Amino acid sequence: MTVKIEVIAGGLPHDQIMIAGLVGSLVGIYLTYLNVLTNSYIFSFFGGLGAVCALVWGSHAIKVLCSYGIGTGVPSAGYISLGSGVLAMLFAGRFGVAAPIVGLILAAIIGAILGFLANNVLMMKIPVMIQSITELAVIGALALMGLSAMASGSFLFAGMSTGTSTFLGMVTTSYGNSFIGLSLIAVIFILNMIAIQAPFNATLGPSWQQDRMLWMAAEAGFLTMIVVAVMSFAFLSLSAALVSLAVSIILWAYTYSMYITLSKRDAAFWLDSKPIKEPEGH
Amino acid sequence: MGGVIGGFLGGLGGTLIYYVLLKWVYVGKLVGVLQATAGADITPVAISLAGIFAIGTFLVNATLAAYNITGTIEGPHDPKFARWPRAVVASAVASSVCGIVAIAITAF
Repeated sequence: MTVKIEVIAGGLPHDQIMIAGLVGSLVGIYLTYLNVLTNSYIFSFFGGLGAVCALVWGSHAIKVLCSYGIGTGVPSAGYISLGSGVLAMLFAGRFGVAAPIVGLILAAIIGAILGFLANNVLMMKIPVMIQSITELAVIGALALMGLSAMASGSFLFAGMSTGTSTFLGMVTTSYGNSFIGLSLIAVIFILNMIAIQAPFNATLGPSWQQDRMLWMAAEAGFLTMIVVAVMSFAFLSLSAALVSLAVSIILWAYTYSMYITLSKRDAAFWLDSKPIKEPEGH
Repeated sequence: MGGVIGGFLGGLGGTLIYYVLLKWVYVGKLVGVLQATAGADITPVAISLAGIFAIGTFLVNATLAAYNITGTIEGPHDPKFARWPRAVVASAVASSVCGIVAIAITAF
């Protein structure tokens, strides 16, 4: 039996963050479907925005779980989240337009099984374990689906694994030049893993503040979006990739400045140190 | 020595997942899933899928095993080592769930 070692006082309740993150990420992922309806790629960046909603929710879900002493450190929660999420997300890609909903349900089932195993077989006996692992699996699936849709323009398995290659002016279908064929999903997997666990890992401690962690989670999410926007140059039209890149950089700069402001607010003392100038010529 | 043996077993398990998914499942079935024309090279997709599913299953198992010993262990002489049967049960169930999903993606 473990003991709750930290208490959340004040700030937004977890249920509100959960509902906002769930709705925000589903809406963001579904808005990328406008790509299919309008036959363009310009709406891909909505997938990234949806993923950021999921990541903000994820950082708080990890906070709720890790406020009990689980003994394995914060990153382990990120690993189990993305590890179970990637299974659900790729499987759900086979279900056409219902993919985000199928991914949500399947991830919740896998997460509930893993939470049950941890609590009742491994005898962790943490009250929030089953709910937290279920949430984390759903977050992992939605964040991966959002960023994959942003990079490849589609959240469907066929869209992610089919690319084109040009040979002597002829455009042919190529599976090797696709989002999954190039294994870019592994890069997005690791980027998501960092973005989901870094905020709480970086801000935990006696002076933990909820708003500072949530702004940092958004900042980490937009930083991930910048990298994904660079990847999307390979799969999307130039204009769509440039829109993604611009949106990511602007939102990242805004959230980063907010995070720095809040860090200064919570810091005991702020010294703007300059590099030490060493005299040369000795 | 405990760490070396554990690393060997973990790597062996991950490799088994990857090899079986790639050779026995994806190489044969993905042509139908992607509705690829005959002769199209689906190997990159098969390798990538088997790899990412192996990573996912491996990380789920690794985290559950770490939860079992609540983080750290000193070796086989540690009293926490006696909990290993629980980890076998949990990992077997978790791997089965992950494996069913990984194979079911080619099922229809």
